[in-house]
Amino acid sequence: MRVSVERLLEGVTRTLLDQVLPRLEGRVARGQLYAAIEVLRNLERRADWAEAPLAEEAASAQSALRTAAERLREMQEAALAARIEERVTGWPTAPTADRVRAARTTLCDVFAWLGAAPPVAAAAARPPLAAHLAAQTVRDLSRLAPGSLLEEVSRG
Amino acid sequence: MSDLTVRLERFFAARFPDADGLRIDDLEARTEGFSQETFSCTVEQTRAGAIERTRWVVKREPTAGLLEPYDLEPEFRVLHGLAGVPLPAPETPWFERDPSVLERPFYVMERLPGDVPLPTPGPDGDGPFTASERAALAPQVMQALAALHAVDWRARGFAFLGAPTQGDVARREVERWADRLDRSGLEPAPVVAEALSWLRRHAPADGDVVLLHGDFRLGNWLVDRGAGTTRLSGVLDWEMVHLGDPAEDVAWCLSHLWRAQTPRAACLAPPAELLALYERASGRSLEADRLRFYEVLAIVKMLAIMSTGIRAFREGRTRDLRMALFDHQMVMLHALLAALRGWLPLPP
Repeated sequence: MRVSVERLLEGVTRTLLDQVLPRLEGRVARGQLYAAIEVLRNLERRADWAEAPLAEEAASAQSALRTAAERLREMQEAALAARIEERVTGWPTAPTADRVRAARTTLCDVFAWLGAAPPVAAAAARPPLAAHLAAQTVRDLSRLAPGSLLEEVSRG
Repeated sequence: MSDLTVRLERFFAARFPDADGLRIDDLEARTEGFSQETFSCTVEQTRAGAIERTRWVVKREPTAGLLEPYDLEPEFRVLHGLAGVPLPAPETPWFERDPSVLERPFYVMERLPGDVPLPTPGPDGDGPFTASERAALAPQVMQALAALHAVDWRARGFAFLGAPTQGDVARREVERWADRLDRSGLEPAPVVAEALSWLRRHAPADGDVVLLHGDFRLGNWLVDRGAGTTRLSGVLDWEMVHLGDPAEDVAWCLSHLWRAQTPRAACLAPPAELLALYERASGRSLEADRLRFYEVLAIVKMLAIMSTGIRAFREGRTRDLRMALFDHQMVMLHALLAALRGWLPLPP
């Protein structure tokens, strides 16, 4: 996710205060909305944001990159393999968010490096990385709240 | 009377100096768009006691948005220059850059009849059209796209849009959107980096270079469903107009992005059927590999647009919460990208 939780909560609070509240006339509804805003304003301090999904992503990326490096070594591309392994070894151990950021940046760089590598070797190294991306995408999807309201958002 | 109404009355009065009197009626800010600020209004002119009413749409440059930085002039010049082409594009007579008029640049176009159906599943999960509406609309939409692609852009003076250099048609688009992703300053997504790498390795050879709408899709079509007929009455939102490969517009239109979980491209017809309608109307045949390339590019393009919106929200330049939602929607687009690359099953 690319928007911080703090910024999201601030945005939701401001929308409710500036866009929704002035258009609400019923006293009960206004009271409920104020209560919801108050909950949001305090949520940021109380929430213990989960680290486990981030740790899982970093571990999966690490494993995929190490396998890709092994494949490259088998294809006589030792220098590129060493470059990848060196990057993975240099990831910060904590905080987990920094480790995940390093994992994502490494993956992006590795795709660029493979684009310039001999095609046969690159083709051998890509499948484990693709498997990680697919698995990570499924994990990311599973974390979205079920029952999307996007249609209602579009229609207004 | 709002300040905006007064300013617009002054603007229109200068365009209709022969009117005895002029007033703006029912000025309304339209908020459904994500991009430019749009207002609609009716201009009531009095001449020799007779009243003439005309309906207009005013599009103004926003302070922040999905396609920033904005410059409305190219799309105005194209819309203005398309007069006479058999396309349901609104007549667009005026562009104003002077900040003293409406603070930011804007253009004015005629308001066409109809509504803008959106790519949403609808109550029965069948999309926004009935079967008879789909049957009527599908050929019209593809004929309009073929008519646009048949425009002689050199003769109409559209070379200012920047023709790609030889051998660079597809690559230029990849780099244009890669650059936009970079400029968003967001943390790079590996699935997008992989797709960009694939696109760079699979850019098709140059084909025809045509005038592209750039955002030709369900959601940008005005559909008039009055009096028992269904008619494509307008093609809107030309801010991504440029020159390039016709497959880019076709793949964008056919993309999973606008299917709303129906098995129909643009919620109109099975993709192969819609493609056949375009090929018949244009007399042009599009190879599967070329279309696949632009299909992947379409998702990257959408992700780049969303990244720009997220940046605007993150930096506090817009309070539109819909921009923040892109953060969640991007995950769905990553899944689509993974599916198009063959790692996950494709949605219907």
